[in-house]
Amino acid sequence: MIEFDEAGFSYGGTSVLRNVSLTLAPGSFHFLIGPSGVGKTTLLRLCYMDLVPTEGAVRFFGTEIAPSDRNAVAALRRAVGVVHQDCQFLDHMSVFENIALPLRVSGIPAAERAGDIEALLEWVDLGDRVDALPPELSGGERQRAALARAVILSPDVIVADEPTGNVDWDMAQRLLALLVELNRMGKTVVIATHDLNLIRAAKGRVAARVLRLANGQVQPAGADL
Amino acid sequence: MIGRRFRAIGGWLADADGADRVVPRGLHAGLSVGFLSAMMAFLAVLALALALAAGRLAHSWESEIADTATLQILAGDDGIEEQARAALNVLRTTPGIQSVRMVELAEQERLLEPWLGPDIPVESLPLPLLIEVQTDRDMLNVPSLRLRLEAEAPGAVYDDHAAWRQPLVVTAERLRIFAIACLALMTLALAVVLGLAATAATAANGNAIQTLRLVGARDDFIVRAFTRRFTFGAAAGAVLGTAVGVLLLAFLPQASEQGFFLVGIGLTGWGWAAPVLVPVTAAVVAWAATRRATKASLWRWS
Ligand SMILES: Nc1ncnc2c1ncn2[C@@H]1O[C@H](COP(=O)(O)OP(=O)(O)O)[C@@H](O)[C@H]1O
Ligand SMILES: [Mg+2]
Repeated sequence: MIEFDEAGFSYGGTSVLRNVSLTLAPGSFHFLIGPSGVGKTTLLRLCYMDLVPTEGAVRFFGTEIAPSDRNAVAALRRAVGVVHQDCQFLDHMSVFENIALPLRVSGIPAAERAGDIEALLEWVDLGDRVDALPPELSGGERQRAALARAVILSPDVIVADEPTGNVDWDMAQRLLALLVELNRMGKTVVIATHDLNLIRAAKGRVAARVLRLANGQVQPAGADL
Repeated sequence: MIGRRFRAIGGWLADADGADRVVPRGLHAGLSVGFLSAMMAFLAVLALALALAAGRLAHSWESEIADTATLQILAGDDGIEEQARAALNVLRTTPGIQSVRMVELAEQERLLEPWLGPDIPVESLPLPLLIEVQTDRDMLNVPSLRLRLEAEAPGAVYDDHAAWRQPLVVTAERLRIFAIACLALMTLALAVVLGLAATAATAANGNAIQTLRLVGARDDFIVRAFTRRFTFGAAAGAVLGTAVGVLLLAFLPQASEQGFFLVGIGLTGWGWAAPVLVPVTAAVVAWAATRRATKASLWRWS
């Protein structure tokens, strides 16, 4: 569970988020919408302590983590799987190794989870790309690999920043289906997107709440979507 | 406690979680760390050999001073026998004198030949009577011996070689200290340079470090990855540099008993085991320096 308690954030002098209070309850499914540049990525980065609020607080599973407690931050990032907007990979390692990276840094031998990784790769349709290097992937393939990496540790919370930005509609639906399935398994899911079709596609499959970000504030979006 | 420490070292060496793989293999950086440490190791082996040889030399010269002396008796033909007898009497009754031997004229000629050449008629030179004395430094009181000789055999000059050997001993000692200082400076330089290289490597791999942090890597995982890479690179380079240095020393002409000082710079006996310390030291230094440097720069990169 992630709680924003009157949290605000500014880059230098530029305030992006103001007075945001928000609870991402266990098992909830949220869409975060808003035009480009409004602060969606900023809000998501606060969810895994890539950024620290400049006002107020963000609490994780009931506690506030000090940024100086670097091991606690590392532990948080294992509990929160992230699909980053820019999908960073280690370019010298294969797709398979990149997807297994969270296992490696947690000291879990990839061999132990080889079955999981294979299944996951099939799910995101990258089964034939395991030996490729990240720079050889297309934008859509990168995002699928990033999603696979985000869920490999079976985290409690999954944060996805525009996960369907670079994929075609079929793949977008498949990624959504995967996220919905993870949500059914009890995971908390937060997706930042500007693709309203994705939200419509989710309707009826999952009880999703839609949050609109505007002027640094978060409001529940109406039923007009 | 000690068991845990050993297990930690074992885990570090075994790299069970494959931390190594996450650091991109920068060919350039890897080579320069290895090359640098190879050069340092090569120089360190030479300095080490110099330190050992200088120590050996100082020791052997010192013990020569300690153990042998000569008594020269300079007197007119008539008095020489008498003076010699008196001098021998003094020596026999002095504690700390172990043995006494007259140096024959033929032997004196042989000793002088290298200096004067074979053609000089040695018989025509006013050679002193030479007595070689083996002493026990701890028991012998040289000033008192000198006083007694002066009284009983005024033509006898006691020479324990200290006058000309002592400066050599001092020089050898200083050379040894100099070589040891060289070793210390090289170790320090290696630490500084590897620290800089590690800082540069973390900076160059800032993106990789950020990615690792974002997927939940702890600092010690990342530090281990970098220190392993650098430590093994430095150790491999140092092994190579040491091997070249040792080979070079092995092919140096061996020191003969009377050999000029520099000829004796090679290693002897257990001295051949000393260069093993060079790569070990390089590895430990690399480990400590990169650990420090990466720990410090992780804060900057994530
Ligand atoms: N690192 C940064 N430094 C300064 N300003 C930034 C930085 N990242 C984002 N911003 C600014 O903050 C605002 C919100 O950005 P972002 O959270 O990326 O929006 P979104 O994801 O909704 O497109 C934008 O105006 C952007 O220019
Ligand atoms: Mg964004």
